[in-house]
Amino acid sequence: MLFNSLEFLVFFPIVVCLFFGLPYRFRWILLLIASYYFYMRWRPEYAIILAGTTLIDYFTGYMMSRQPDRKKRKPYLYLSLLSNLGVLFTFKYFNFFNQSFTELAHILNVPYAAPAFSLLLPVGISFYTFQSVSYIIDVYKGEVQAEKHLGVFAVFVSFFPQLVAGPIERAQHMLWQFRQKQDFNYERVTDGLKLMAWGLFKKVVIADRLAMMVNPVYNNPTEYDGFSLLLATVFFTFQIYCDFSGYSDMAIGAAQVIGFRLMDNFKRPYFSKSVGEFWRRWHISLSTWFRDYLYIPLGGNRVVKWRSYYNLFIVFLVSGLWHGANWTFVIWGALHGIYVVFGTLTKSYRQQMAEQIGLTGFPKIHTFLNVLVTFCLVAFAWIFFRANTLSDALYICRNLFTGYSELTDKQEFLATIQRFSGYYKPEFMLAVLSILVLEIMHLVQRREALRLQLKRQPVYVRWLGYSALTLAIIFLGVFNETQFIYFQF
Amino acid sequence: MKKLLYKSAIMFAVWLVAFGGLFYLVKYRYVDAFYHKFTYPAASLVIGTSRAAQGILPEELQPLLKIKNYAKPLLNYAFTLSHSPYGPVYLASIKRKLIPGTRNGLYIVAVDPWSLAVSKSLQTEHPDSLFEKGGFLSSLASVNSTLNLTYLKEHYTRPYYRLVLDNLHPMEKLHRDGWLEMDIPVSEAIVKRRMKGKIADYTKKAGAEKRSVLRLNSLKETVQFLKQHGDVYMVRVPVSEAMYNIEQTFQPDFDAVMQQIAGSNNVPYLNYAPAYRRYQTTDGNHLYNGSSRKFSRQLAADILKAKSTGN
Repeated sequence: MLFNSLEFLVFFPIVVCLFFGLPYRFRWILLLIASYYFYMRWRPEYAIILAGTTLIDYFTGYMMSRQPDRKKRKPYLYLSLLSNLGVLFTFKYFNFFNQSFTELAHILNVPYAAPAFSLLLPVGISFYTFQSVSYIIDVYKGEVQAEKHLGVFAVFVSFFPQLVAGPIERAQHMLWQFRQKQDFNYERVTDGLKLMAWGLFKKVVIADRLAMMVNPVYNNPTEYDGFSLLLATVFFTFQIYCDFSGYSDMAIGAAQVIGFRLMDNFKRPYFSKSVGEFWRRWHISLSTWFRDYLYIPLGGNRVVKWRSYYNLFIVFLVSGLWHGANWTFVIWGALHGIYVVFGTLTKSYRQQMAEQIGLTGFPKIHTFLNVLVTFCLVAFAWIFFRANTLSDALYICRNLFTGYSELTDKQEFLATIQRFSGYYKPEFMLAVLSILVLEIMHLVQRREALRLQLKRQPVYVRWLGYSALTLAIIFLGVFNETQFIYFQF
Repeated sequence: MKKLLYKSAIMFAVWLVAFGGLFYLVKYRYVDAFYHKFTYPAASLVIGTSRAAQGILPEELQPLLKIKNYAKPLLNYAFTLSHSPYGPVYLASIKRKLIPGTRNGLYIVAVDPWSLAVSKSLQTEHPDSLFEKGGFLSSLASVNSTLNLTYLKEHYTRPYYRLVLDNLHPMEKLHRDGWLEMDIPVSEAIVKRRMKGKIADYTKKAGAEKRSVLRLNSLKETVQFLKQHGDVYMVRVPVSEAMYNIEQTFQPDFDAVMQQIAGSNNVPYLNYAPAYRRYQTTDGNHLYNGSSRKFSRQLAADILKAKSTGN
């Protein structure tokens, strides 16, 4: 079930009404049923895997809680990790590694033959697996008490607002909320609905509109000129942000309506002044997960410098692989690893250079340049993220800045825009306008969310804003029920 | 909770007004190039691809209907090469379209080499392997609803603002009789540019496709089916000289094959393709409005003549 579907428009109000209508002690049952129903709308079989890993993690967590000695907890930790990561590997990575080994064996002339599995990737498996793994590791370390109530634990793993695309929550942050009594609160509920509306706007008005122009180019890059490749890349940069942050906003808003607080997942990432900062603002739940459960256990920055850079690079490589079983994602991750390591290595030199050329005397220009360079680096890396194959990605990189001399002819330029926009220029103009609106909203919300600023305005201004937003969704939205990009992970 | 319900009611009222406006546009104005073809049943039909959709005006065939007492209404039920090449899907949709029991219908079956072709890479021709299986003609069970919500929900994929903008600045107009009138620039330079692209596309197509046995059989079945309900005329709509030359290279025996089908079913085959000099196209492939009207009048006159001489 997609958030931007009629089905969810019916499902969600029913769940909300039932939730507040039910006595508090039965609400976990409603949430569990609603979450599994939500998940099974993709494929009912997916629920078996979800239920299976939930039971194993509940059991291992419970058993660990009965062992005061860490050593005695280890077998249960390994059992849970094997179950979670084994399932993830089988469904997501087995065929990829198998294919890669087959190709390598072919090159080396070594006999190798293992059959591929024909398995459909369960939606959201990467997300709920990581959420479960974080729980089990925290229980092992003694940072979190194992949840004794199976139903509450099952709701924690399957909670429908964040089940399929995050935010990846932590047990310390979520489990206690399922034991709180959530009352109907007008301010909280309406704030949640406004956040959902804003998320839906980003998804159907901006992201899906940009996708209409990006997809034909990235699906057939050799049919397009350099300018179209560049436009598609820039558009994709905003598409993926609006798609993913739109989903996160709807997830956070939906959870807020029924009284649950999820973590923020995005903080205006394209305003980052460095790639390192970008990763503190983009998909925050994932980057903090990798920091706490991979980077720090590897030694973090408490080791010698070269080792800490190595750890950083490994984390980004794994992060790339988490996003997808394809070498393009690995290269995307590696690029970010290189950016961050290189950025850290050269920080002092760049600061010195900025001082020498007098840039530090103009802090706004300096900041603007840092933001622009970061944006360009991130946008370039998205080529590998979006391209269907490595050869497509390399083709795009090689041809991104070719054929521009022809665009000096006005007719050629207009024809290029027309072709890029699917032969309907208003769509291109709307796409550009919607990106501008997005960035203006970001600037306006630098210190405080717009919906909180609106609260202080007269009623007619507020209602004008809400009406404009919802009418924009109705009239400008692209409602062909496109999946969210991160669902494929 | 009461405050939320009260304010939600106001918001719903705002949305209702917006949807009311959309309803008006859908019912009475332009939606897209296909929608209104699915809003009422028809007794007489023009079928084929976009050449027929843009090239044949039912309005110009009305005098013919009157004179020969053909059953009404006459609807141009032609779509595009992607949606309505001849095949089991199109035939099934035509059957759903036709008013049951029609006996004196007029059926213009527009034919061209492309609507009878498939990709060379298709090893076995099976109805399920044809690309139009994924289109709206295949999935739309209801093709005669006054307000076709199924089409709007599942196949109208444009944002709703297009309903407003397309009516304010129309580039095309779908008449109620199904004729698709294009309102696009037709200066020599622009037509030349479009033709260049079209010719390149179709040259590529000619190399990648072959005549389809399945489609040819479907065409025969379509003619035989329509013959049970009235008079059938197989027509080859004129195109530009360059396009005609590509088609002659692609399927040099096309006219002979059409003549054979027409002959075996005792229906006339009216071939206007060699008369390319008489008509103007917008892109080498589709007749321009003025030429469509001229062609439709010529077609009506020729059908009248053929009917009078008993051919």
